[in-house]
Amino acid sequence: MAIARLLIANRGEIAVRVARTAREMGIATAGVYTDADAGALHTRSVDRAIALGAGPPAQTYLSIERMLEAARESGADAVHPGYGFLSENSEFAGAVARAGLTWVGPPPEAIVAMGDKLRARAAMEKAGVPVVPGSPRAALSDEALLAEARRIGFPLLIKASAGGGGKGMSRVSRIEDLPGALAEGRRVSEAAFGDGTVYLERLLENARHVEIQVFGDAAGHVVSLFERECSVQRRHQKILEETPSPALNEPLRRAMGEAAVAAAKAVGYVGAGTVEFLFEGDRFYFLEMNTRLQVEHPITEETLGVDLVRAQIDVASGRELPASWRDGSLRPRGHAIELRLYAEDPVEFLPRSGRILVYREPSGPGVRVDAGVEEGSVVGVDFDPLLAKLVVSAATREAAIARARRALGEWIVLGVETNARLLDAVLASDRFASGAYSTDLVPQLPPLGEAVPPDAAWIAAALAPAAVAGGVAAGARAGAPDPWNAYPAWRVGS
Amino acid sequence: MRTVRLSHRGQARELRLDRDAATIDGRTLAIEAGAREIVVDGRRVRVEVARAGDRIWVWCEGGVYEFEPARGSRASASAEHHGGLSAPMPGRVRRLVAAAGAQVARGDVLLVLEAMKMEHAIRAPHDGVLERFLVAEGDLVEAGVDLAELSESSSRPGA
Repeated sequence: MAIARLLIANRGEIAVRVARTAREMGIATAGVYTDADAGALHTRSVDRAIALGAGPPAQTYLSIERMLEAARESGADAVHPGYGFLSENSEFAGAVARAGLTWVGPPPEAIVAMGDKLRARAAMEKAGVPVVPGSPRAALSDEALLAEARRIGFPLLIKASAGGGGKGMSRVSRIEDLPGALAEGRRVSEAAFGDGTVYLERLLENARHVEIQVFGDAAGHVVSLFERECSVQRRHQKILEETPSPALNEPLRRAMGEAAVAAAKAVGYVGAGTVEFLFEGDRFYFLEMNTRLQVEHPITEETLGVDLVRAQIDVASGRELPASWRDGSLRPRGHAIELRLYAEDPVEFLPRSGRILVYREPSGPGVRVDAGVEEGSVVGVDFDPLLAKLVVSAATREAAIARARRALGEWIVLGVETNARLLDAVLASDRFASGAYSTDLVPQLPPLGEAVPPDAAWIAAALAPAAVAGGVAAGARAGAPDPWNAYPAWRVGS
Repeated sequence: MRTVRLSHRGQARELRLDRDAATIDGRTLAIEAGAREIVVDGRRVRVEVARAGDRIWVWCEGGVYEFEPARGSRASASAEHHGGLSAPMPGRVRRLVAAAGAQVARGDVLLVLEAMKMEHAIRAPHDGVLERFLVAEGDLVEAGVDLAELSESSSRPGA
């Protein structure tokens, strides 16, 4: 059934990105926004934007009821959830279908099967997919988990069964610390996911984080669209991804792809999904499956020359996967790297907020920017700090790294501190260049230290015209009593 | 000629500006300001400048720097001196953990801030008495806002 109008139940860069493909496909688009997001870029990237009202995410972007109302109000016949928010909420997926709308995502049952990490681990073991040694579902009490911890060994990780994105996760090095860490893990998980169940997993300290993009259709085909290397992380969250992974050879790539397909088939998967693995030495272990489009999906698109959102919409409309995906003739070409620009300080990774006063995107050969902000955007504290993604592609890994640094150097964001300096430090590091890195790459980087402004920066700041009342990016106002208007071409934040 | 005192992350500098020269720390450089570029001693450098209130943001040679007017060194030191604890990031006050009036030890969690789906514990920088909180649970705070007053412990006369 062809989709005529798509509601994009999300905000920021992913809402903008989904709207672009829908437009290319001739599908009308509707978006949603809260009072705080009024006028945001994503609301102007859609044909019609529906107000969700005021309130924190729980009452707006995360409210199933509110989102269904928005779908009705917009006249949409399909819903794309993006990532985050309601994208992995099986209740929402089911409610969308019951409302007679097309859900651009996997079946609710597949979301449930993979959303409960403990249940997913059990299903993977049954399907013959290797999993990281850890505690079973039955081990819930402190006593049982202490016994499991002795069996698994230290250091280990406490993880939230309902979780993801590192929330509720903590590292425990000594058995004495376990009870306290379990209590804290349960509290955070309960608060974040409404489910305090936690489990233990062996901590693979020098592991890489490699994931496989999978895609299924309603006819039962499931294919691997190759890997993404996701080991560059801070606070257990990715900041840079690349494909192909410098760590995989062809037999490993094939084996990991087959394991990912087996994982997806075990839960009856349809649509775009990502199977995450920990990879150490020449062994890999199932970590979790993200039952949605991934933030870093563009690097797969760039090396394969495909549009994953288009494929999602096609599959949701009942079409089969393209023949080239099914017969193995689709092969990656060249190298792609994604950099995530976060509103956060590059040293301690603490969130930053404010208004973006100047925003200029890089461009040129092999450069793609998926942004959720523009000049004048207000970055608040209620949402993920991802501002935009820079995706570069080139013939070789070396050329892609050089291109990424070049493009990063063209990216100008003033008004809100970003992690750009950290991203450049990663790209410039010998360890990243060698390709032989793991998830400890960022922690092991030499300290960034304070940024030291060159003389020209001090002079430019000193030459800046005095503030104009209410003066955000006000510019040098004609006739303003400012001696430095003597420099006629000097402009501020224009 | 004009004199400007600016500060970048606590480091203050005085600049003397003439129409075609700038003096920083006793060094005089020839300058020529253009549209989004500045020539310093013959070398052309691209810059972007934006201003919000008294904050001046500068992009220069790939780096971003945030300047503010330099204040007296006494003013910037006073917050710490009085035991003020300021927010390291903007966010919502999620929980007040310690009790007002309680004796706390260095490293104790006093309160928890949340921003962008991330919790951040604010810990006591030294032993002392938590005199009072300056914020309440649910408050939205900017970076740099004082959160609590922590006095030096007075119960250590021998120290």
